[in-house]
Amino acid sequence: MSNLKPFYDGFSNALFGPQPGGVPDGFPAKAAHRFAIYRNNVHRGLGDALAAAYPTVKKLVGTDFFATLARDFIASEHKRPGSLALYGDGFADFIANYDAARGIAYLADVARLERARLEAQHACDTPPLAAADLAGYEADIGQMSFAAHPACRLLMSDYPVMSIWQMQNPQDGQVPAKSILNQPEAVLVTRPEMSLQMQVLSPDAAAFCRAVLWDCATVEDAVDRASEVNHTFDITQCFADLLLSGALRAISSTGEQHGR
Amino acid sequence: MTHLPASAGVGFKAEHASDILDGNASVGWFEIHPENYMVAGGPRLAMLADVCAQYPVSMHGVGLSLGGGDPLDARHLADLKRLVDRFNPAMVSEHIAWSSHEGLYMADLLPTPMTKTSLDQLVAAIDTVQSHIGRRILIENPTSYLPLPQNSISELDFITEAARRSGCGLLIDVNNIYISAHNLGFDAEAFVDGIPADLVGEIHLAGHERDANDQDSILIDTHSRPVADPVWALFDRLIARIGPKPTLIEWDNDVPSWPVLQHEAALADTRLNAVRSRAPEMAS
Repeated sequence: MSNLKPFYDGFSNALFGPQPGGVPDGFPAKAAHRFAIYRNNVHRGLGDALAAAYPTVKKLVGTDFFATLARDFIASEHKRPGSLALYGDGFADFIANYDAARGIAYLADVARLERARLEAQHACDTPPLAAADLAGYEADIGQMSFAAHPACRLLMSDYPVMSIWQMQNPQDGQVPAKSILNQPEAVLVTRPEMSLQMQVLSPDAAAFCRAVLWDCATVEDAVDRASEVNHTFDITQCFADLLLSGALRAISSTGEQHGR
Repeated sequence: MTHLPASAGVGFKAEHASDILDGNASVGWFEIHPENYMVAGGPRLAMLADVCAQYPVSMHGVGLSLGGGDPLDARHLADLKRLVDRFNPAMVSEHIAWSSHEGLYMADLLPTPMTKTSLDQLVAAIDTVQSHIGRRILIENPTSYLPLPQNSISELDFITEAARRSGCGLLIDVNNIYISAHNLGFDAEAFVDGIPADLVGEIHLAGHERDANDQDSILIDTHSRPVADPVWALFDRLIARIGPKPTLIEWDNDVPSWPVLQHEAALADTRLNAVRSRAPEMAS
């Protein structure tokens, strides 16, 4: 450790210390005004990055409450990498345990949806599974399992989370519902052709996707689970939708995604 | 590797993409912060590939924390190397500042004490980066708001010595010199006159503002407005001596429309061209 460790420790502590008018150890009190420039830059920089990652959460709770939420989240962090491109991992869980946000039960799930969108947006560009890739496998497809594309996220919420998101983001081009039914929504987030897409899945399609994407079930097992939800489950339509939205990873040459 | 031309460049902003991605923007080059592109894939990286295909690009880091007391973050270095390897930028640069402490990034460029110990640490950090990515970098002089009681070496000596010992070059931010000179009370012109010409690889220009809650007249590096006249004057003074260099207009807050930004870059180009025509032997 260098003999400058006390400087870096003291400066960092004062940046996050409780008194806005404080200065690091060893600095004169009259430096408070100047030190506050750094302090403000740090808190604004991190707060703006969190707001950029969770714009809908901010709209839902308002600027002032979001600022408090952000300050407390930032203070709770033990690790923060030097790139903020994927900043805010863990914010949804933080909200779920944040007493002052208990009154907005769906808020944590809105944060989960925004996190899913951010992760999908910046995920790896590996090719998605296309219908043509399955030519020749028709007889085996029931025994096959598929991996989710890196830009695919499935969110199972007890709340109408996508409807709430759309209500807050009408400019996104998707027409928001006139009124929101208070019912669970399963949302599939994908990034076909580099463009982020969200869709609410029907309960049977949600059961199918959950089995395929989360549990690595074979198509046959996934159909069984979807049929328990709805005995007229339409696998053809559902699988075509998954292919169209780029939800699945292309079959690799190693054959790792084939039947087990 | 393409060279950064000794003309004006600007920071690349997604909102200007449609104005510049026809390849006809009349600026010589673009700057990006590599931290914004430290992701696995997706449209943002695809857009950067488009920019790199049409213009020389400078990667100007803000997150390595070269001037901190901690070892450099291995993951961050690896991410930087991946970007440098993939896009082969015309320039790579960083700041003389610290921005992380014990694994926590602060999202700001904090002041590095200027002492013998911190100089040794900075030189070692630059050395680590240069050997990791396999190329020479430039380091930028800081903006200062606060005199540090720890300082024992003048800023000009500190940055010059860091560059000489590590073999890196200097990115001279003229707005930072003006602001720091005002805030700390040193002579900006003497500083500009003392910069070794052979070390300068790039120049930055930006707008600043006076602190809104002014108690003792502080200038803040806001990158939110046109370059101020006294900063232009220092820029003229610098390039008259060292010749034209790649010069970036930094305008990152209250980002203007493309024509306004392009106009600001044209003002820098006019001055660079004036120097070039006066002393053609200095043109680089």
